[in-house]
Amino acid sequence: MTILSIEHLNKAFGGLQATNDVSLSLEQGELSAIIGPNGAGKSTLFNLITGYHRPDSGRVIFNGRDLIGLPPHEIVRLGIGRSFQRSNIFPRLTVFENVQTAVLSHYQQSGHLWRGTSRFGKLNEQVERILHSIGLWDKRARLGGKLALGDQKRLEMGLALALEPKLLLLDEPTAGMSSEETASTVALVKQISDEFKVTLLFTEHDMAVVFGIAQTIHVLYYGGIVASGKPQEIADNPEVQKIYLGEKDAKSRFRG
Amino acid sequence: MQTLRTIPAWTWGLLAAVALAGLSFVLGEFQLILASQMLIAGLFAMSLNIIMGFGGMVHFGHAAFYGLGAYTVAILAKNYNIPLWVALPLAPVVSAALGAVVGWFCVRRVRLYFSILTLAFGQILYVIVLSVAADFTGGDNGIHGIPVPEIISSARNYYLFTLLIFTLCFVALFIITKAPFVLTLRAIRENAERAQFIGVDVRRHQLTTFIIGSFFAGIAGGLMAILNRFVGPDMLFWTTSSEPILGSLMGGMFSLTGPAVGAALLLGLHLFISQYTEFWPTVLGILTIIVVLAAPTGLVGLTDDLPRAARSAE
Amino acid sequence: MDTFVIQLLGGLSKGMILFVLASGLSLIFGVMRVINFAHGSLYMLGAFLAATVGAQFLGMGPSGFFLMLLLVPLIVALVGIVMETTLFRRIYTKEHLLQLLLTYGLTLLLSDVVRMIWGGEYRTLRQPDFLRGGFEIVGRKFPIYGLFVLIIGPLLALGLWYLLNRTRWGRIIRAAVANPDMVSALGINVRLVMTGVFALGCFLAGLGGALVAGQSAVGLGMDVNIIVEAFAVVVVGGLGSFGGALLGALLIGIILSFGILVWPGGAQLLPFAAMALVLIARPWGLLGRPER
Repeated sequence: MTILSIEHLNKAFGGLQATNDVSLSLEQGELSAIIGPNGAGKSTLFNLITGYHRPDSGRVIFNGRDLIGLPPHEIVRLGIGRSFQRSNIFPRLTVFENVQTAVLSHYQQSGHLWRGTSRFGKLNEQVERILHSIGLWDKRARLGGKLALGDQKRLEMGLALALEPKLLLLDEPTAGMSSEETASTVALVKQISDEFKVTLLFTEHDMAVVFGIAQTIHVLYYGGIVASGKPQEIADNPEVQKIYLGEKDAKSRFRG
Repeated sequence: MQTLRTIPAWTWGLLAAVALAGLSFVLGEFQLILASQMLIAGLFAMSLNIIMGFGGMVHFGHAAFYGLGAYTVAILAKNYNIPLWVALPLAPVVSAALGAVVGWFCVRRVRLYFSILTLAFGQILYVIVLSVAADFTGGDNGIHGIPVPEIISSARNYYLFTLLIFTLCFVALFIITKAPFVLTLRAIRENAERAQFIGVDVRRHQLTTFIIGSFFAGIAGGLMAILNRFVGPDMLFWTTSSEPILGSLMGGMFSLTGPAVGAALLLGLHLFISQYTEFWPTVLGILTIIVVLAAPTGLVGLTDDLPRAARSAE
Repeated sequence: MDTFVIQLLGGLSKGMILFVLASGLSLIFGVMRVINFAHGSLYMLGAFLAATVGAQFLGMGPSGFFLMLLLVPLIVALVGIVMETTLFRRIYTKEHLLQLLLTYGLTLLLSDVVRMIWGGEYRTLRQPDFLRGGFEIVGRKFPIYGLFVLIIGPLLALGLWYLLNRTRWGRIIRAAVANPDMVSALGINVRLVMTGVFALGCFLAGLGGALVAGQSAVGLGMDVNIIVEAFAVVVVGGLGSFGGALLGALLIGIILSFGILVWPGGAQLLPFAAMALVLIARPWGLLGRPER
């Protein structure tokens, strides 16, 4: 069953066509990746899906509903969670409070004015479960901003998971990480995919990560989709090879 | 230390309230008036700090809502002979209603632009009270001789009355700060963009905060009107907003009690220093500069906020 | 018709004073991203200096008056330099609440210092002989001093424009507005630029004060009243925009001048209404650029 389908999506910033007639669809429960050189339009695509930018044309259908024009917080409520490329958490809230805020929001309790946060027993158990699965339970009393980068990324995923999304978008989950941190994050992404039965779409520049865990890969180049398919198909695709292997120098140059 | 912490917060609150009430039998009339002023200044500062400290929105027009509360009481009681028991409860309602209108515009702007917009709206309300609606407000002269019921007309009884209202407001605000509303508000202060992406309607949340702050400012203004039996347009002028701002800064912006303590102490200090010099603004100015340069989260907040945050997670 | 002309001239004259003040405010904001509440206090300081110290020069005739118009702002600029190097420098990287509060603390301090030195009475600067009296226009009288301000304003605008657009110094300042990091990367002493810009801004505040002293009574409280009007000017014109400060000042001056005629009770309200309107509809102002 298709959970998300993107149809002929376009977005230009000034003269730059950041997203160029992109169409793709995701199956329920799939773990798929978007790859492409820097500046290919990966983050823009995420921003379009999550309502942060409005596309010039095209449609984004999620579970049969057109998302275009909805504000970000409503798209989140429909079941699309997202994590960000640079760590994006609440720095002066504790780790526990970070996740708690998200869980409370998911259960529409953010505006509750009189019941103490410690008295939401069921929801706090949920917070505890999430903190265990992202491995931050022991650091729950630390301030989010004081965590190491890898832990901040985990916390960010925790925030996204707290919304029990049907679809989870992860923007470069291993960006800026050491190889150990990358390995543990990859394990975490896999675990999330299995444990929470969530459809996952992530962008990544590390090819080893992508080909190691993704079931489907979409290749984005200059804002347009060049190829979509299973890892083996992508690896064998001559056009992709041209982008990635033929322009290897360009790629390493742009990775910064 | 550990044993002290196991005592629930409400016990401390109750003890403090009883002690404050007990003071009324010790203090003289002059000190009772001062103590009432301190309570009102504390309430005003807390009302601002919900917006500024917890919400991260620097509000330079808050005095307008304080003044509106005061004028609501004065106009109803003096011009229309409406009993104070009706007029006083209407003060926060009027302030909150106007807060809803003004806030609706202001929360659409962030940071500096928010601050300047609140300043603009505050000044608009000030000019309305000063000259546009001078027939009702008495213009520059304000309104004198607000009638006060017999039972709260003595300094002692009015202090106790103010203490009662203050305590009720404090409890209400305390409950709110422990509830998801303020947790979410702090999250918005930290990272509004991220808050949006966990499904929070940021603007609506901020608007509600603005209304709550205006509501309690209205109560503070109403209480002040009764205490002085007088209201004047200066209560709405933008520089009046700065007193609770400085009080909050000195008391600690990330806590509920900090601003109340800070504002009350500021008032006490004002009186104390006035005995020696007429240049109180100089002292206040220097104090502000020192606090800004030295302790950006305020004196109480520095020690209070983090351990408490850590505790709530356990 | 004659009323219209007189009000227009009056409005433009008021606008010119606002421009002198607001251009300094806007310049400082453009380079340092600090909204300086104390700008109004420096204006008041300039006015008091002009009304007392400056008055000594009036015996020297026109040249004495012009000397005063140079000297008073220089003293104010000196005060500004002290403020910048001892206080402002520490807060450029801090959050804007602390910046606002610091400048507010300075406002309190400065206005009290003025009170300490000069006391609470109103003062006036005796206009120099060559600027006293009025002249006939469209059958009505208009003060010569108002005309003088009307001439000084555009001259100053022209001078500032030249400084910003045609000199090396101005290019550095404009580059600092656009991209402070780049300027320091070019090996320019950014600290010096900042202090210089701040001093220039304060000079303008002092000049505004000195000019206004010849026109209306000088008294305590003029600082907090003028600063919100100056905010209105820079907001309407666009924060950090020089042309915006000019346009905003003239608009606000004219709005005030005609407002008093049409709606005496509410005229004071109009600048703030204009400010709120601009912030709601176009927060970067009429001539400013939206921030990224």
